Amino acid sequence: MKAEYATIVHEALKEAGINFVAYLPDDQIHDAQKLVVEDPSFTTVAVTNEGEGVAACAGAWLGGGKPALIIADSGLLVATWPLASLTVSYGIPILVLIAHRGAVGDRANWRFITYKFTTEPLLDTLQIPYVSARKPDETKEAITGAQLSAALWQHPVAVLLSGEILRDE
Amino acid sequence: MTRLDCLKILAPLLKDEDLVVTALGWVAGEWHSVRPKDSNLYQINMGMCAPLSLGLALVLPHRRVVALESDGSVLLYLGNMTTLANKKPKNLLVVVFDNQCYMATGGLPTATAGVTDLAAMAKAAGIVHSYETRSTAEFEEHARAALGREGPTYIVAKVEAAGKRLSTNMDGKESKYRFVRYIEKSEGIKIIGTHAMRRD
Repeated sequence: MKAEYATIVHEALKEAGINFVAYLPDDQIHDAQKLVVEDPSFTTVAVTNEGEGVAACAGAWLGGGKPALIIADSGLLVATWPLASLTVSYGIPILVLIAHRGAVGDRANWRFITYKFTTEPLLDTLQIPYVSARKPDETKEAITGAQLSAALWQHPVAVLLSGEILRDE
Repeated sequence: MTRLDCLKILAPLLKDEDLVVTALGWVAGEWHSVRPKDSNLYQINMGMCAPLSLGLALVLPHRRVVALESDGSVLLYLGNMTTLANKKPKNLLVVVFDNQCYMATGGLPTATAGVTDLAAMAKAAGIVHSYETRSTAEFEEHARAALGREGPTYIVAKVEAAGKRLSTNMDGKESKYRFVRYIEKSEGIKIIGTHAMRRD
């Protein structure tokens, strides 16, 4: 991710009011994760798996925080159990920001076709609404809009970042 | 020692405003029977009670948070011990009621019925105040000590595979609303509502 794009993501999270982030490092979104971790206005938790991160975000919301989980497609697969049995069942709004590889035309190798088949169908199956952003100028609105809907619906909402916004060059 | 014995010891040691999160299973109903407060959140599903309590403790560092966990639940997300150890929430007490089996689903053994020692694992993960207790006197001593100092503290209470199937008489959503409205009132903040549209 280009430094200027990481800044877009970081600033959009701030504008959305996010103040708590659980994350597991991913190379595609590492630069944005690093900006968040180094910003003292966020409480951050480096988790050992993404399911644990969902639960930490749920606890943060119950205490009055505005949480986001920043993960990759693989992390969404790991996080399905708490997303389903905690955030969807109880109606707990968390923003799930996913670095999504596997869009058609993406510069991603054979490994990432898995996520073409899993990410969007999983979100549909879990009944987690999502919005996609591929361009830098779509990203801020996607993040702030997803957080607004999550808060108003009391439900998790995901943002899939893919394409240009994730590119290094 | 039963879990209910320990809960009866713990309840009077807590202040009304101390926040308590219970795992799924009979612990929820048992805790509700001894401390039916709005500051309780009940029946957090397998693996998620301690991680959820961590999130709560981090956003409300001035409030005491107690997680009432179980061996089966903790074993599902063992990595969380390392997260707790590294985040070091001063206001968090985790009590793991270790009955060495998956009692609520029929009683097949967990790893702690074999050779696994959860308190030693928590200590090795980096939680300095990690203890195993086998008697009510020992449990009370560790619970009192935990509530009197900065945490985190991780108490593994080895309990009999016995319990009471008591009900909280509320589902998860009701427990959520009850808890969140209590937090809003006690903290003077808004969590649920259309205020999000105004971004205030």
